[in-house]
Amino acid sequence: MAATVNVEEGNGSGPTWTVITSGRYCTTDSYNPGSNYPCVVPTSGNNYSYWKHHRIAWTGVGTQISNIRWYTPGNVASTWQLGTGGQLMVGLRDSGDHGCPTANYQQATGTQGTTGHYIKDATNGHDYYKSQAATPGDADNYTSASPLTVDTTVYNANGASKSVVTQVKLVTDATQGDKSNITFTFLYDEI
Amino acid sequence: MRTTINPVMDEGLSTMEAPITLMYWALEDLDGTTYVLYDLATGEQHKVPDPNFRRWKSVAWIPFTDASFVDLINERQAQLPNPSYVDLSTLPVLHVKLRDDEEARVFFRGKIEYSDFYECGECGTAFLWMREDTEPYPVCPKCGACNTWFCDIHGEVTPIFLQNGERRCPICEKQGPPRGCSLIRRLFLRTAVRKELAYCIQVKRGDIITEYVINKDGIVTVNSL
Repeated sequence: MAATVNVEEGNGSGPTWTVITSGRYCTTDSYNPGSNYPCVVPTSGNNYSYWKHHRIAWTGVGTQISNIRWYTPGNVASTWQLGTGGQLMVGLRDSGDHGCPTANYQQATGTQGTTGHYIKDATNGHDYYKSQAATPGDADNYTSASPLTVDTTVYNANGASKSVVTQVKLVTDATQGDKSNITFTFLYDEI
Repeated sequence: MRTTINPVMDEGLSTMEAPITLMYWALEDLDGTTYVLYDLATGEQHKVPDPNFRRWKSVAWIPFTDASFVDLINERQAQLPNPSYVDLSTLPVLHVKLRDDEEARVFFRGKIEYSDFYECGECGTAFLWMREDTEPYPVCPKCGACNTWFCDIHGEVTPIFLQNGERRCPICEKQGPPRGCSLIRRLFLRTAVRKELAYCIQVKRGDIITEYVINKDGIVTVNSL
C-alpha cells in the first residue's frame, strides 16, 4: 500500500502547517500571498525573501517511511533571473540531516514588503542554522543526481518530516517581474 | 513558452490522496514460504515481514494483471480511513533470485513534485510559462489574457519598472509629477502536485548494494550504491 503524502508549508509562530496550494517566495510570512509583498530587487547589497519551511506529512503508513530527500531542477537562479550571485538558498547543517526538526521551526521575519532576514544573519537569522559553520547552500547544487538529505529518521507511524528551509537571495542586477514556473521534488522510501 | 497542463497531474488524483499502486511485492523465504503484499484470496493488505536487509530465496515486484484481484483490493481499501488504491498495469515483473551470500529488501520510492503554474482568471486555463525574449511576460494560451498595468489618469499603460519594485506611468513621468500604476491581475500563481511511485529492490552483497528500480513507465534502472 502507499501512504498519503503531502507537501506542507509552515507559517506563523505556532506554526500552522498548510498543504501547499499557492506557494510563492515573498516578503511576508504567508503560504498564500497572492501578488502582494513581492520580492524586491535591491538598489545596493542583497535583498531576501522571507524564509520558508517545507516538509512532507503522511497518513496511512504501512510499516515505515524513511530516506527523505529534496531537489531542484538545478537552474532556479537563472530561470528566475536572480542576478549575479543571486540564488535560492537552502539552510545547511555542518553534519547530519539538513532538515529542520519541527521543534526547531522558527517563524520568518524581516522588513515586510522589502526583505526577509538572512537565514545566517547573526542576530535575526534562523536559530537552527545561523550558528553553523556551513553557510546556506545554493539550491541549484541539489538535483536528482545529488539531492539534499533532509531527514534520515525511520518513521513508523503517521507524522511529518523535518523541513527544508529556503529563501531567495536577490542582488542588484536581478530582474523584476513575473517568474517562470519551477518544479521542486521530495523523495522518500516507503514499505 | 507556454504549455497547457492539468494542474492535478497524478492521473486525476487530488493532492490529498495516495498515488495509485501498480505493482505488489512478493517474497520467497528460504524454506519456500511466500509472502505477498495483498492476500490473493481476500485482498487483505499485509505488512512486509522485515523492512531491513535479510536472506530471501527470491524477491519480486509483480504488476496487477488480474481485474478481479484489483477489484477485490480496492473494495477493501474503500473501507479504510486512508485508502490506497491499485490499478491494472502492463509493467514487467521485476524478479531477483538471490545467491547464498546476498540479502535483499523491497520498498516503494515515493516522489512528490510541487510546481507553480499560472491559472487564467478569465477562462480558467492552467499553463506553465517559461520566460523568453519573445515572450517576456505570461499570456494565457487560450484567451490571450495577461496581467496589465493601469494609471488612474491614462488607463492601461506599459509601466516603467524601477529597481525598488515601483511601477510608474510613462506618460505621467514625462508630463508631470511621477505617478504609480496599479496591477490588474488576470493570471494567478497556483501550485500543482504530482505524486508517483517507483518499485525498488536493493540487494546487498558484502559492502556492495545494488539497487533495481522500476518506475511507472516501465523503465528499469540499476545502480550501485
